[in-house]
Amino acid sequence: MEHDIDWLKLSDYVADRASPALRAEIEDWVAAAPERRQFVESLRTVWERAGVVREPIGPIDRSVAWQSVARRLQSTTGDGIPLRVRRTNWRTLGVAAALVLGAIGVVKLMRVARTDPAPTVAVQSMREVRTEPGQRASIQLVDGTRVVLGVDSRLQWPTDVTGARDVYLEGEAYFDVQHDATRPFRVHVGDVVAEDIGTAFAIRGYPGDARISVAIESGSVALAMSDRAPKTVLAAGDVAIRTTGTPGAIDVRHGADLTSYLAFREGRVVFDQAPLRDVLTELTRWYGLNVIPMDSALVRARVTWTFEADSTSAVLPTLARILDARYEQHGRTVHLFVRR
Amino acid sequence: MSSSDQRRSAELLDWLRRVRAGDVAAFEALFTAYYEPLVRFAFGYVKGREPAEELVQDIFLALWEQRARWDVHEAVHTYLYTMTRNRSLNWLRRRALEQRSMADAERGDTDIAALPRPEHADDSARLAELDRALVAAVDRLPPRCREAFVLSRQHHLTYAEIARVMKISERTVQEQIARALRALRADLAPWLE
Repeated sequence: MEHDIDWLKLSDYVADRASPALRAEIEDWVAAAPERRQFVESLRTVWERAGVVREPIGPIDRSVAWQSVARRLQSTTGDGIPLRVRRTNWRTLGVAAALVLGAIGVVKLMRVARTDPAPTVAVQSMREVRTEPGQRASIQLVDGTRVVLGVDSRLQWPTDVTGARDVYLEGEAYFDVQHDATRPFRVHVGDVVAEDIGTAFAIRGYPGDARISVAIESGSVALAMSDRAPKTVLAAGDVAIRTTGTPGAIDVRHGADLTSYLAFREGRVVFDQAPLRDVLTELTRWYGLNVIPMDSALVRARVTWTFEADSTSAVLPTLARILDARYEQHGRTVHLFVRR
Repeated sequence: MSSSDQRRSAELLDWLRRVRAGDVAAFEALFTAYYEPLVRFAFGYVKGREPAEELVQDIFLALWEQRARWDVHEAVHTYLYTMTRNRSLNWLRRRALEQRSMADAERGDTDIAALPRPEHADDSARLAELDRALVAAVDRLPPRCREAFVLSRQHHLTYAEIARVMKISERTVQEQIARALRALRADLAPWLE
């Protein structure tokens, strides 16, 4: 139904911007024909709903966002690009390092005090990629080495492409190394160093986890505790587990099923009789969800489960079904209850 | 200026003065007030929650880094929306360029790309049919028409403020909003008659 009225005037009227004169004009116009009242009412409906309805964009966790901003308040920042890639200016090699925020505009790394005689220290300019929870990255280094960086992880590598290839990992990554006998490729994770001998392998060592694992897809890798000999040589199909905190022990399994170690590259997560705690930690790393079991019976549960990390809406219901539990979600926090 | 506008101005002014003096608590208050609305505003352009959040966080960081150069009498309200709009449009432009230059990526340079990520489990406000249709219809509006309408209805900017953010005249803002209303009424006719 076309109406011969100035839309500018109608719009101002509906937006409550009309002068008394304009209001009177519109009201006279409406009074002159019955269907006009309904028409103007429908405009008001559109106007009002448009003020209330929002496009659903998923949960926005403002407190997490603030923490992220607050952390960066005192460090140098680059221009925003989807992955946090930046140049850190200092790195002490061969020694566990802690990141400390110094004066505004400077990021400094500090050596943690050790009782052993310290190895010689060198500094090296590094590049860094960091993934957020749920985010993975595919990286091809200049030497041709391919890396898949898992969720909530950090990888640092030297900007000097001619020197030694020492990279530093926190979290999970898969390496397909371009072999170079003159320049060994070494991945440092926690207190473990995995050295490539022409390989493709997956390493996992999140800070705070009880274990560091190295799974060899092809070729062989020499594992050592930091830079100390002797080295354990691993071959395709081997999985080495280092339980953090135990002195010097690396436990090697031969002919292992590598599926659960490599699945993250395809965005899949595999659990086989895993303690619930481990499953919940992964949910935080993949979805940013904080899942809390509210019954002690749940805490002891073991989970066998494979999920595709992009079927988000199914994750919580499926977990609940596996545990025979129910859940309540508030933003990013989820409470799990035993179903009674 | 209405009394709520006056209150908002006074509060903003206080925060700005304190932020300029390096007061992180005041900066957090500013963040708390504007983060979510700005993310939703950016989302209208970039259509992704993560880039929208990333973008807005970078704006706040830039704000903090340049706080010594602020003129506290400047309207930060419009400034924040202008920044968000500019950066969103730049993001779109850059992505269009990237998609073209991805084909001729240089050999011998480090190549980093984000892998497709899972969508976060959403709060699931189940929208009524009209609301759903409305969201889709707003999205279909011509770009500048949509911007003006969204800034007015969702972010409560005055037409004068919208004019400043979009760098157009107040009269043009009025026209764009009228055009939006007309288009929406036509699109939503099946639900309104």
